[in-house]
Amino acid sequence: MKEEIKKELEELSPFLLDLPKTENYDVPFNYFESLSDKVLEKVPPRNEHKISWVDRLVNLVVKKRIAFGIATSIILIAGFWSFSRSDSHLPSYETIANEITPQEFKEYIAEEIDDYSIEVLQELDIDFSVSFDEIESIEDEFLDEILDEFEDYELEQI
Amino acid sequence: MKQISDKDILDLLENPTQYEKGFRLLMEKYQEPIYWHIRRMVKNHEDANDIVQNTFIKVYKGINKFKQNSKLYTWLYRIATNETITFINRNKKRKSTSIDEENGIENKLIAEEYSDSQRILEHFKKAIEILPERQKLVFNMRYYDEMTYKQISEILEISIGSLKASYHHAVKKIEKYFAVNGQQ
Repeated sequence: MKEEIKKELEELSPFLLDLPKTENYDVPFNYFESLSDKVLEKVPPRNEHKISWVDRLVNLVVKKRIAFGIATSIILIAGFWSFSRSDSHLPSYETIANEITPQEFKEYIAEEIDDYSIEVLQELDIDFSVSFDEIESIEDEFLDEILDEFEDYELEQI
Repeated sequence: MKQISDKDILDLLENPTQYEKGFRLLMEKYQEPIYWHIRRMVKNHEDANDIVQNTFIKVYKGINKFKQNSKLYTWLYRIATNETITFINRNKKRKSTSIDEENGIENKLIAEEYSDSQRILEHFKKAIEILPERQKLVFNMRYYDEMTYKQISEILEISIGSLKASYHHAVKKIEKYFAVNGQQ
């Protein structure tokens, strides 16, 4: 026992100073030999500690922001490119109209006729008369279907 | 064999490739005193083992935060003491047997089963066990670990005057315990 502590105890309690100073506890055999292994088994490898959870969180947020920024930039650039391209390269409606012959126009209207109302076709004032030579064959059932779609007064008007 | 210095241990711990070696040397140097420091505060080996392992796991994870303006052993003892106090406080709530009842049974066993020298040691252990936590802690650190009041003060962050008073009270209570139980 250190002299300073011994002297203090001697003054306080000579009885305690005379007591045997032994650890009166049992410890398993070889306990201290294996303790460091047991502790090291419970901790992850050291290199995983280099990045703290705060750093990982910050990295994740920064990465997400960068990814979001890149994605937004790509969408904006693609949108702008597409928009500017459609303006400069597509022909105007007048150019298209001049390039289409009346015959082509009539054929187009005939193909898409289901999409037009009678009023619109009347406004266009297009001559839909066709010679019987042009009509190779019209099935009776098909003709009935077309006629059924018209009201009587509409047929009278035509 | 010459014991490795704290500085050498800390130098190894700063090098990632030498970290495990440094940690093993740290444990080799401090595991026994830290274990006994804990064991004297808790009753059985299983509890002491849990606390000592938790202590060194915290040391392993937190060594980078260790500021070298305090000594390594001061920092280790502080972690061990905090872990032990946390454990004791948590267990106090769980305890259902009253202290008086427990003491009565143990004193009877001591009287019946032990030789004179063993009986004295058991009474000594018992006298320390029933001290208030702070007095028990200070008595163990002073009497068994032979620390100076300055060292204890750094670990427990309690003034030296208060520590001296706790130690003196503890010694007097232990002496009284022996007087009451007919051993003095």
